[in-house]
Amino acid sequence: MTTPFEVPLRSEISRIVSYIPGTQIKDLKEKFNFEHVIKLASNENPLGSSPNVKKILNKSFSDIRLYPDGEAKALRTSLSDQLKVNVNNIIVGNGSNELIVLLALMILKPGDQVVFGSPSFPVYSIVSSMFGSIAKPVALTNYTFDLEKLLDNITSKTKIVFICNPNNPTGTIVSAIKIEEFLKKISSKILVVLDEAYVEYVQDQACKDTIQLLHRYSNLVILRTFSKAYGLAGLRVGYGIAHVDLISNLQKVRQPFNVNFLALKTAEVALNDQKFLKQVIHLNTRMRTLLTSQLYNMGLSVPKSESNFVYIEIKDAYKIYEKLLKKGIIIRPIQKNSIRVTTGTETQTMSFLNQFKKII
Amino acid sequence: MKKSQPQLYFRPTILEMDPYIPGEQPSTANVIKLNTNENPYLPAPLVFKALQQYSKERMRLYPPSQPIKLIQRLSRIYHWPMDGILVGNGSDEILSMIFQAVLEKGRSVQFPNLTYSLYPVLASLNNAEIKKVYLDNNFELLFNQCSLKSHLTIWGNPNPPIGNCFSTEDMKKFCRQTQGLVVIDEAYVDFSNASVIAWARQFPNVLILRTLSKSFSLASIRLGFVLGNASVIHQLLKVKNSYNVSDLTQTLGMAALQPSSLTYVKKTIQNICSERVRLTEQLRNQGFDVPASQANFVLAFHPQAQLVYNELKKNNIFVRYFPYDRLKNAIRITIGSPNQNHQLLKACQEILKISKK
Repeated sequence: MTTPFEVPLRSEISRIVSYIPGTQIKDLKEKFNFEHVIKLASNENPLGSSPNVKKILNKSFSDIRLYPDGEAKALRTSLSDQLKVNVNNIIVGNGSNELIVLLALMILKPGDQVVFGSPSFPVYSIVSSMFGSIAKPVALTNYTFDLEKLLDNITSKTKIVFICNPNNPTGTIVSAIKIEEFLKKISSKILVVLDEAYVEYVQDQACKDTIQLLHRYSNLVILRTFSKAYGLAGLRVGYGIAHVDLISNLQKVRQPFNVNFLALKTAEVALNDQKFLKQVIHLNTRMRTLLTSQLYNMGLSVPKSESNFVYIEIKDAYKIYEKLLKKGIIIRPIQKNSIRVTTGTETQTMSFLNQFKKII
Repeated sequence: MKKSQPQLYFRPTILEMDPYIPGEQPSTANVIKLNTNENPYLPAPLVFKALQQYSKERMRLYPPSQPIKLIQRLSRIYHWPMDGILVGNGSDEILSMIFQAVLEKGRSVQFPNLTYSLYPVLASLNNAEIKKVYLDNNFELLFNQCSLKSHLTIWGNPNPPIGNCFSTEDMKKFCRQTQGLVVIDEAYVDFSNASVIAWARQFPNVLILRTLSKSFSLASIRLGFVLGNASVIHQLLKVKNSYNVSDLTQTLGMAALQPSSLTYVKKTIQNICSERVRLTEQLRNQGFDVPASQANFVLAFHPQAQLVYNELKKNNIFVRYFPYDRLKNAIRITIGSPNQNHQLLKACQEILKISKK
């Protein structure tokens, strides 16, 4: 295959900068020959998923040969019961990531603008360039999405606004009231994507109830995932809640069988084990407090996190990342002066803190 | 919820397009499901073992973004360079990536007028002009009517819903001459001896699409892959979602591609192919016109096809009926287990006998 490839791809494609995922446990084990590696890099759940999940997998073998239910009726019904919204307001995706891409695909044209805070989830900028639109990152204020500044950046060309709440990588949150004020001020022609991947971890009550906003704003979509608090990152399930017209159009553009059957089954089981979820949240709150207070005692600046990670501003972030790798601990360097650390079990969190203290 | 005006923010193409309509997935037990080309056999025993042994620890972690192990394994099986392989959440996802990467307003895609019904959906999603190339009376693609300038050309090998394979010489000639990208969708190729893998590697503009949904009995886990030139794969990777293939899917896929599993699959394929011979013959005996198929389904023509479809459904036997003009007298039947095929044939016979009276 030495002949050069000459078929012209869409010009946007060459401009896309690929998403770089965090370092995987396996990579590190192989590189340094570690037996145990602590991964606090990708905001995964240290407790994993409900014990019922494994049971359902073992029971599912005989149906593996069949196509999954493309409409994900069972899972959507469970979500509908729990969220108190109609089934027709819910769509399930191959991770919420897929839903972000589909939303962009439905709406964006070359020349359109997409507004979001920065730093935030890198995929917002990737999907913008995927469809030839212009990404407008707006700097955070005090590590937090500044909705007024976002408003100042909205023009007649703005088609989508992404609000990551709590924000990844800073962990900060804006209240439902502020989001509503923002929604009031912008045109209902602009889609507002509220990415709530970490919402289960939020303790601040003023920030939790965003679903009620859907009743008043048809241009709002809320995205959530089973990857974080439900501990199913490996299986790929996310969901979106929005106006029925938005959902029915999303249903049109998704692949006919976008979510695999085992993911649908396990997500349903995980959702129905709210007792386990409570344990997850309880541990996370404890570890978040531990991390924050210890880091604060070290004289570091750590924004108040409502998520399952903390953001640390610190010089030589990449060097610190490399040094921790050598100790068998994976964290995520964000920029040259910041890192993000996921909460672990108590042992994992303490190991990180001990090594981190030595390094800095 | 408040009334919305979707036309305010959706691209017009989205509002106007027709969605893909999948075959029915009946939820009642005791149905004979021969409507979505699923495999009647269970996946290989190693897949079951892998499922049982799958650790919860793995579930909580994000999957590898690039399933290197799977790619290595596929590379060995198909003798294809690793950097020319991309794995997707079913071959549907790869199709959608290809269409998205190549097509836009002002560009065109061509495919047979009868083929996988997802192609037109993906084409309109990407604002592309659709050129349908007609199949002749023998369902052969008229390659001399294909444009050499279309940015994308795609067909099935075998081509659904008929199940025939187009002439190798014609395919080669077209691949050599066209200025565009060619996708040869080999979803059903394991039920034939017609794979283009051996010769297609000489064309940098050809992509070969495969799935584990059919011959490997793994429709539910969503696993497909594409073989092509490294430079094309490199571009496609840019539109790939970061974690597109579930970790469990990658794990079960690995188990399905082990040597013992391949031997198992080969046997089940043989069974399905000999059932195809039997089913074709007996349907013909009943008065159906059945073009020879090289896939795990047959398309059976009969003046009473729609009636047969409806009556079969009443008997809890699901086959597929397509509401297209040229297929209004046809049903597509997935090859089932010998017993399922027996039930189907028996039911068809009854239905046709009564309708004659």
